[in-house]
Amino acid sequence: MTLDLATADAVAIARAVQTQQTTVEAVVQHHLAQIHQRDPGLNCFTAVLADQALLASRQLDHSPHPRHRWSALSGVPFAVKNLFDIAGVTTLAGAKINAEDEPAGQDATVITRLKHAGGILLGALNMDEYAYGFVTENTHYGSTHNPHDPERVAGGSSGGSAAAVAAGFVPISLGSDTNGSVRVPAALCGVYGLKPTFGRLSRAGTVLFSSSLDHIGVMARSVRDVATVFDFLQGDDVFDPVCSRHPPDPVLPQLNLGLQGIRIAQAGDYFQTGADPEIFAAVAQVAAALEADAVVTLPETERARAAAMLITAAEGATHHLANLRSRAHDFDPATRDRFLTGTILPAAWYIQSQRFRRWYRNQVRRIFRDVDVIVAPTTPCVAPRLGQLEAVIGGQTVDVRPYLGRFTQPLSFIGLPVLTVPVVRDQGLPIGVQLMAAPYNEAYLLRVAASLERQGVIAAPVATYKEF
Amino acid sequence: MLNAEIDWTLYVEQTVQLMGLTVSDADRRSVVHQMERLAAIAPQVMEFVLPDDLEVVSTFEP
Repeated sequence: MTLDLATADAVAIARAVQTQQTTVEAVVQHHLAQIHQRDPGLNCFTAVLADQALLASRQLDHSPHPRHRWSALSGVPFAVKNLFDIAGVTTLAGAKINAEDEPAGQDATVITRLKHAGGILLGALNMDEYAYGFVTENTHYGSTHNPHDPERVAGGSSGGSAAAVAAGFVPISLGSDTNGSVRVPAALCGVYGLKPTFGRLSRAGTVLFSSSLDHIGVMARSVRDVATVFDFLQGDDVFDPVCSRHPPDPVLPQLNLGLQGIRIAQAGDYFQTGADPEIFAAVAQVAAALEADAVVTLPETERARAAAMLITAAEGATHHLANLRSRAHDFDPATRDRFLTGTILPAAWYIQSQRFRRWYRNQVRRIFRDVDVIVAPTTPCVAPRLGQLEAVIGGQTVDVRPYLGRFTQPLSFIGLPVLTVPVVRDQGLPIGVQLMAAPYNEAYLLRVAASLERQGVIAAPVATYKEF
Repeated sequence: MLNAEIDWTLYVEQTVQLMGLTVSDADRRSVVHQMERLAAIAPQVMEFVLPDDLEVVSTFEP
């Protein structure tokens, strides 16, 4: 098959370099050229590591290791949200304050693992300051534009990660997800976004936001790419105290097992209100393809979202207390007031939220005795316009930025594995649908997604908007 | 009802001092707004009755 680098996914690129259809250097040159030409209009990258990437590509091309033994990610370009440590690069975490830091001494664990798999790191990606946002409108480093419509937000906080994949700058990227920061931008940019089980992927070498809720996540344009990256990243890490010792469960070999034996339902109640009709239509489209007629109710989900917000506010603020005392004016105005507020919350709000988290987890665990995968919306609307503060959704005027997390926050709150999948539409902006499973059951999510992808119900083509 | 009688402007003024924070007038207004927003949702969590023996999940391993 002829390789088209403009649209190829990671697995196709790796196969092409293995079979010498192309070289790693040619692959990297192509993606760097795309970034050079088009990223000024989108603002996905805060650092492009061209020299480093080209050196790595030439070293791989001249490697004595037989190509037929190269991995499924050999020669594949990738990029990471700028809260991951990259050796020799200052870790910004979207903040002006962090620009004064020394360059990181070593790569984050997950970057090391992708490099060991043969991945070529192209750079660092834009985000909301300290990951506290859903829009990636960053005062210090500019807004990231949605590749499907540059007048609209890319989502956040991993907005650069989603937009770079959607634009075809890289086939795969890494982000982080505390309340939806992988899933929201992935949905708004029309790509896949996996937030695995809490603790499943190492956070070592990343700037934490709210430690109780922080996850590492993967974005890509194909199900097999998500599975491949996830498999390379799985595994214990002594440098992350919350990293799970649960044994790795490679999902790639399970992708084609189909839907047999997987019980699928739709999320009812809370998840069937508070969104635009086109969002519910997308959920119905996915549910119909999966013949998921049953509806299950996750109890007290509104409270779960409230508790997630309180935990996030308190933990995020405590993390930055010293700088809030000495130089609050250097924070992004988009985050400063919320970080300041988090420092003065009553302790009981935080502790009760943490206790409620355990209660809610126990309730949802029971639901997963009778069902394996649950379908729900990812966002309540398509990508808002840049600068937009309010929207009318479900008949109510809402503060649209925090409201983007309506359907994602209750799920990350209890660490469930969730995959947002981009639904094929005749017209309109991208819409994502969440597939969630019991902890450590990522394989079910990827199997269901692979089935939907084969049916043509979901897909993540490179954005073709002409104006950037 | 929780929070019904609270003067959030006064609360913010007092507690930012307690925490050693210096907050500009403009930021103080925003912080009061954010505090009111969180105070509006906090009762959903605080008023929910949980079993007395339900502890926070902890990963601390001595």
